[in-house]
Amino acid sequence: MTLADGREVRVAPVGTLLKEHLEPWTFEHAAQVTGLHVEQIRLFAEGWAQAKRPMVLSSWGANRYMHSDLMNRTKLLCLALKGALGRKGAGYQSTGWVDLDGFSNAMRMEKSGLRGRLAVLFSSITPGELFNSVLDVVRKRKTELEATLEGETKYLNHKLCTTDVVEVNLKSPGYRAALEREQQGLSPRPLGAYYDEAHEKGWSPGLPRKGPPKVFFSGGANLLRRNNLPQYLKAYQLDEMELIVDVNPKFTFTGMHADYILPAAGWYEKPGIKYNVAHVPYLHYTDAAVPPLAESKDEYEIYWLLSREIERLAKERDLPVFDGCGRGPIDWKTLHQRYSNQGTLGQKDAEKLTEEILRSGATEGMTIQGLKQTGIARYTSTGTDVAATSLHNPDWKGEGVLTTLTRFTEHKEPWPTYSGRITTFIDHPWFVEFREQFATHKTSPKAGGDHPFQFVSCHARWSIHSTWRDTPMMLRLQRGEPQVWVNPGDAERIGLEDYAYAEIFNDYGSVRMRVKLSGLVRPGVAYYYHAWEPHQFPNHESYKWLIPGLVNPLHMAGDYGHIRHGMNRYQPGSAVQDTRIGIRPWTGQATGAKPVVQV
Amino acid sequence: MNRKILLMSAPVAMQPGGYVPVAYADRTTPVTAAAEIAVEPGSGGWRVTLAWACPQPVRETVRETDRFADACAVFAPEAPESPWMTMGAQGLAVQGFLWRADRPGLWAIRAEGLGTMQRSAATGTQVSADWDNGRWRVVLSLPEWPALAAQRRVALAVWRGGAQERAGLKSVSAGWVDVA
Amino acid sequence: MRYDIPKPLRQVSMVLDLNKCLGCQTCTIACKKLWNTDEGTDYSYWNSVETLPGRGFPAGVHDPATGGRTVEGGVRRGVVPNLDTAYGRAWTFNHEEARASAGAPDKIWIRPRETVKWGPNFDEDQGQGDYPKDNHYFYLPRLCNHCTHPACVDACPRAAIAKRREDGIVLVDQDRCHGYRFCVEACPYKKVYYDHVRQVSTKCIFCLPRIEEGVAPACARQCPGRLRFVGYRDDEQGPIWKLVEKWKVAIPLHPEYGLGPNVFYVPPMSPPKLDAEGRPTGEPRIPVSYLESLFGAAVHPALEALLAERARRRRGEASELMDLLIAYDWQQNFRLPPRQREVLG
Ligand code: SF4
Ligand code: SF4
Repeated sequence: MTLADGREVRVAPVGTLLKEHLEPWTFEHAAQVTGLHVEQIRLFAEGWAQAKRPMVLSSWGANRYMHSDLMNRTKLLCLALKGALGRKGAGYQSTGWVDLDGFSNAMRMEKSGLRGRLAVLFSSITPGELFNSVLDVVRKRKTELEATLEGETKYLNHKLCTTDVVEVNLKSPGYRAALEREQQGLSPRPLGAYYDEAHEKGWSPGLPRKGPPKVFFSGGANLLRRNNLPQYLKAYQLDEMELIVDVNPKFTFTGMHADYILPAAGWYEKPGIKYNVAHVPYLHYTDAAVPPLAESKDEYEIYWLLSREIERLAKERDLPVFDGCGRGPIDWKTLHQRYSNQGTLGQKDAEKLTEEILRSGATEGMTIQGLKQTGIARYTSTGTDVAATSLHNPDWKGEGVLTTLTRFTEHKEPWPTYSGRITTFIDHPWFVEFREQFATHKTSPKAGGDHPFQFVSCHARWSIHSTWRDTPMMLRLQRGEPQVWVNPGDAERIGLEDYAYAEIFNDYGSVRMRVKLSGLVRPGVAYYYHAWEPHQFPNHESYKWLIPGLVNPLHMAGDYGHIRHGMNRYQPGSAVQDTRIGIRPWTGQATGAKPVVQV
Repeated sequence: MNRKILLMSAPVAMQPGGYVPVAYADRTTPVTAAAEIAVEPGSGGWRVTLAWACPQPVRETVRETDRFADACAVFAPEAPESPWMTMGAQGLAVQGFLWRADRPGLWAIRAEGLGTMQRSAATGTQVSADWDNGRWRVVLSLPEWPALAAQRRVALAVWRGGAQERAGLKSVSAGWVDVA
Repeated sequence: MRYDIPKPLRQVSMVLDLNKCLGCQTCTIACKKLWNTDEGTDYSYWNSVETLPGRGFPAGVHDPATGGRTVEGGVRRGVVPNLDTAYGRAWTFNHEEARASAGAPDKIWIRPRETVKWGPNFDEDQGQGDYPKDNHYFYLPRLCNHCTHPACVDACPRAAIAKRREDGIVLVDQDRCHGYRFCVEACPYKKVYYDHVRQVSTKCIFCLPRIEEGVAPACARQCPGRLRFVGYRDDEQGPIWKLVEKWKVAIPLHPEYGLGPNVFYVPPMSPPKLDAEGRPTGEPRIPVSYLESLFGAAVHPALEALLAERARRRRGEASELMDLLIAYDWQQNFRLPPRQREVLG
């Protein structure tokens, strides 16, 4: 057909394109790629075709490959072809949360009560903007969802001082150079080019800081344990800090490198609520069974005391109001006033704050007293349904199965995509550049060099991340030291003995781990359960020293339908599962990571 | 007095419960064939010396699950008719002292039949034990011991921990031994 | 049995559905933290979870040579397991030294101070077979079976172990116990442990203070797999009776020893083996002969019943058995009326 500018273009329905795209993917072809028998694939396909309610449980672990997007898009495609999305007992169960609006209110609230909640609203959106978007909704130019999504995006990208880990890493030229080297040839242009373009276009805004940070303040995390290539993080960022503080219930590796550790109370030493993904629609409460050990305190109290002290100092020094992260002025002289809701929250008032959180649409009727009795309580709705992580079921009231996405199926609201429909097609210029308009198969790139084993990890059963990872009681249920799981056949071939030390190596150097034989491991894979602390390894260097953590440049794309950035939404992660390693018996040779390459 | 006493294997067939008599039915020859005993009046009481051959002593059992310590016991009848083989009987108790190589002091013991032994701290006693050249020599310094004073006879038992001996698995004197 | 063991008025009991066990060891820790953190019992696990096929806990427990019973149910001499090679010593660690070395050139890393020879979960997930053809394993959580004819009771020359009249829970009277360990030796399940500091035997008490309050044992309550059922064997409304007597899918471990265990297992079904080309065969991955070596011949009808009911459910028909095993309402897994609490002296 002819466009307005006179150009001739050929038009084809997406469905036709999709069919064409899938044509070469016969069972035989899939068998070749996967190594599975055709018969297995056929059995699965038949099962899928016959299934009344196919459901895919796809959790965090499904996002740890360079090409996880393609895998997830494939799962969604299979579900969409079955019409399974947004249907009871079927569909995609990912990491959607029941949205506790009370939680975000309590976090941002600087005054108690209704005045506080209104303030929250106006801190993310001006009255003028609010008026306009109400008008948009009333005039039906936008759905309520679209309007709120917009407001939320604005808040996340232009108000909240937040950024993603990859952004922090890539900010450092040294780190970025290492990753660019690693990812050479993986994309049409170098990684840095996408990074720069995304920033120019405001797709992936990052934090527009005025200067480099001087203080690394860590709470509820263990970054030096967790970051990929921590040697780069250390050399290029941490070593430049003037102060490092760790607020933590445990003595972490990050804490070991901090100037100060503020000991936080452990679980069962402080009250708290935990909320979780949609397929377990319950709020969990943990009570303080025993008082905090020694000098440790509830984090709420630590920050209460700390903010009071900072406010005192700021007043004493008459600190000016300044814009630290480029997202608006911050007045340290009112820090504690704001933290304590103008003095309404005292040092020990963590539970009062919890009560505030329980003022959520999804927790109607729940009280702390009640939760103390029952430990758990079923949600009463899916919440405000604003966040991208939320569930989009406006009807569910705590009874029966929580089916997600019914807003778009039963209620026929447009899907929050470019076309307003379920779509398998993305023609964002970068996706076109990568030839990823449709989900397809791409081979896992060899991160860390061309070595025979793929180094794959999983959440551990003996710990929650690094919490309890070095607890003697849990270590006794393993073998006391970090282990690499290998298939017995592979082990025999290489001459690895069960429980012996092995040297795990790739282009970044080597580390030492204990060999564990297991029939669950596919030949050619070296498996590890994650989150060992680096100081559980010789030289205090964990496997993380070997994992570059590839970045998919497409995750920095934006401004296209559902491809839009925000915390916990569409943002780059670092893919660890593509890492390649070699394994050889350890016979006393020196091991260690190679020095950080200077730029 | 320093007498050599031939020991016998305590008959397992009469041990209480269904397990020990069957599981250890093969224990018919004594693990420790003989012991020497000397019972002498000491300062304000008695001095009993026991010695026996033990090729591999077991002195330590801490932080182990499958180790049994070497031990010996000497006991006297409370009544003239108290049977020795069954460690007394109801109303006919035996009483004495138990030494175990993994403990510093002595236990006072009292029993009225198999499986009824009561142990308590033996006050006013001292013990010294040496293992040398394949033999244990255990010297018990005891206070007044009315049962011995009255009945003037004792029985003894020796356990070799290395052979898993404990409880009724022991080498014992073949009856009361008269003390002059 | 030489002792006259009076039949208890009721028998409390547990059923574990092995098809649902994740091997998470929550049960192990729930139990351990509650009852077993003393120095002398730090190595012991009243509740343990083994990967099978494997050596078990303690190592060798499924080898008929270690227990005090013959496979015909007679008595034979058993073995007291070694702390290093069978149980695994509760290793201690060097956290302080490791932390202190953070800034030093020679780094000390966290590791066991003792030589590691074996541990309670040492061959976890090892299993048997070749990937992807027939690799297989499953988890076997174990606790004391509170046997009808307990070998431990029979073994104690001091009659320090007894079966409670009220509920059949088998208890060690530690005031009577002299630490002779015939019970440890005789129990073919190796579920009596020796406290090497206090020098007495200890064993699972089926969380009796909880049972008396009508609360299921910690291992069962905290199991995220919801695979444990607790109740009385004679309660025809309860899950135990239904699974053991009515549907006969819950069967005891090692019935050949003749102890009459009161803990029962729903045996594991498994996906098919693949043939040389990688095609699924009709044969289950876990060889039924192996299951038979654990659960005896009753495993055949049990598996058949399970498969048949599962097929019914798949066809959309009703199945009381599958509903029960799925544990829709987890509270229904436990039927334990609270009792007058006995004051223990
Ligand atoms: S399993 Fe062992 S310890 Fe438990 S009652 Fe039976 S014989 Fe005794
Ligand atoms: S807690 Fe339950 S699922 Fe976890 S290992 Fe124990 S029995 Fe298995």
